[in-house]
Amino acid sequence: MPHMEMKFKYQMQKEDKNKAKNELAGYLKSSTYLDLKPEIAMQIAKRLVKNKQMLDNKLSNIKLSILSNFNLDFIKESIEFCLYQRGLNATIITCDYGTMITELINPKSQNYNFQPEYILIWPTYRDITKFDEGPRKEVSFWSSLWKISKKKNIKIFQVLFDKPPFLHIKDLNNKKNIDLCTHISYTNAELQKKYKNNISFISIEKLQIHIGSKEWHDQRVYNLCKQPFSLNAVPSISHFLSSNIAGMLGKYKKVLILDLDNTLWGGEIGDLGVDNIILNRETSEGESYINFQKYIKELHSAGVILAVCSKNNMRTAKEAFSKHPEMILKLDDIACFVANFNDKASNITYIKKFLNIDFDSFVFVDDSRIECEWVKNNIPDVSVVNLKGDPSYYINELDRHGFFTKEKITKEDKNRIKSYKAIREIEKIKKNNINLEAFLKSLNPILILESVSSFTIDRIEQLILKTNQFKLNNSIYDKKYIKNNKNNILAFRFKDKLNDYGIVVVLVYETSKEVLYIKNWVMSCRVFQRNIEFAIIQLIKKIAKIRSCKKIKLELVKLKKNKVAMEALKKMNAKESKVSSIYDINIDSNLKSDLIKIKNIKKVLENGK
Amino acid sequence: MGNEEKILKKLEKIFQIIFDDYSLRLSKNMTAEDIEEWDSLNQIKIILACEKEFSVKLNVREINNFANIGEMVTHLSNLEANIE
Repeated sequence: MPHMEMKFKYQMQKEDKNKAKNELAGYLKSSTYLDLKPEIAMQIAKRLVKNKQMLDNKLSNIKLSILSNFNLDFIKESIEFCLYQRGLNATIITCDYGTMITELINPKSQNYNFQPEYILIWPTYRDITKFDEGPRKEVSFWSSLWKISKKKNIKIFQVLFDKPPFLHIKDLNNKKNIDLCTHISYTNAELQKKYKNNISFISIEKLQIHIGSKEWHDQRVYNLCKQPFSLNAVPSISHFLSSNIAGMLGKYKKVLILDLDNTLWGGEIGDLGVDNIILNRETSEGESYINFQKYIKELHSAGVILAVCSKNNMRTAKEAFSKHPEMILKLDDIACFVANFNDKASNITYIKKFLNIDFDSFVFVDDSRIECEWVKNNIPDVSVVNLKGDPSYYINELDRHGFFTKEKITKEDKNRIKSYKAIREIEKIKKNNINLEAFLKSLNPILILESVSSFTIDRIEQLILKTNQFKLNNSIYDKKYIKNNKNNILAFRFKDKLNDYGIVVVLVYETSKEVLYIKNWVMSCRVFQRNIEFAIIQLIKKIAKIRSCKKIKLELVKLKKNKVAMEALKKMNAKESKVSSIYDINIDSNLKSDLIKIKNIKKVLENGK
Repeated sequence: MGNEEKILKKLEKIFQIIFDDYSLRLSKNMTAEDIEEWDSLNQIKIILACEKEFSVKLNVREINNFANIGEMVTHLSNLEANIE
């Protein structure tokens, strides 16, 4: 029965295809690319690239061009996979073997025709060209290659040089009497020092050291196909590059959620008591936990928000932080402390609500496999690290993921941590039924109207782009619009006794004959619950009157995440008009008598006259 | 299962992973023409994967001269016999 047989075969294939797709989804969600066998890693990456169109994703799209003088064909798909896992749907082109320099200096090259948003320039020690003339000449050669990309506003990721594999060659040609390794070190350092403000550098030497020269320099593979590293190294390298790129594009993780027992110290505090947990410099185990805490403390001072999620009772859990002399982490470092016997997925959901940060910015670490699996299954967007075995390796277990890699640590990062302290105070007061209004007032809050200028424009654009929860609709405004309409843009800085929060509110409006129309209004979640919106709407009413408007209108669209804005506008008595999603605000009503003061408004109130 | 059959099975697994196609079946008279994606780069992947799987070193020039899968299997089988 040949006919029957054919049908059967076809069905098998279809089944295979479905199985393959499900498998891919599983790998994307919960696997660590580094832990896959290299051949499987490459297989899965290939499958992603083939099936991308069919996958349903909400990721950011980027166009990336990777330029090098060696063969990138084997690693390209893996980089694409790792970027995808970090929230970036990349379209990647690579250049042909040996064409890196011409691709960069020819304005009509394949690279520029592709119109990439980002270029990754990836030379190796083989591409050193000015060894004879010294590092300074080397630096000026490589920096000259950026000219066209800069002119075209393409962001550059420059991979710094790796080190050669030779142990004994001391190049005799060099007049400066330094060896190639030293020449490279100087060049790398000088490039970074001189251009750190314009170019994003990736220091790949760290990785070379980490994976070892044997895998980094595989001469046989190089001879076979002009790829300098072994196939075994492909997962580590693609993962490392992708973490760096993702970090530079803002896709780093923001929150680290910590288990306590056997994560921050050895043993169960509930059984042993605070005096007997294993956290000391006398035993290797105790020292491991101290070192792990030190590492976490460093992450924290680089802007990572810490939370605790532990199955303990609150009092016992906190005791370790307040009483144990060897604790490196203090209660003050923890933005949100949850200790109870609820399941951890629910607790992490609580932490998410409390911090107002999305799950995909969360990393959860726990020594218990069951807890880790539970969280993974219930909240797949949270990255989970299962710490296992000897606590001596905990640091490496967490560090190797590169979750928190970012380009720079800004003032904003440090402030962010402070502002969670304020949220915590507010939550405490709410719980204890103390007069919240009185407390908020005692913080001496003040809003300052900031004008659109070169100092503020980046932040204004970014806030409109990044805000999810308090925004009226999806309209966005680029720098050009902001500059041209600066008289119709209100940007507010918020300050109180605890902190200067920077620019946290932006409102874009326009006025016609009778109507002041609020085109969009965004506010950072860090300053929710501070009654800021009421002060601002009162100001808008004043502006409307001065500009002889009789009505205030705005477009409020129900989005996935902007419930906060919907509710706030309800409180301001916004009424939906006959046109759906257009709301009216009563120009004469007064909502609250005791409003936050706003500084610097003289000019905007004079403007309309 | 004879030794060559075993090698053929292992080889099939390697091909399935490299070409990411679990329905791919190998037979001794197949050539590079029969698999669409079998280009020079995938050829290198195949060589490196075989070296790993069978713990042998392969001579690239020799492999490029094989007429079909069957010759490759025989070659691998001979190499394995030499090691033992």
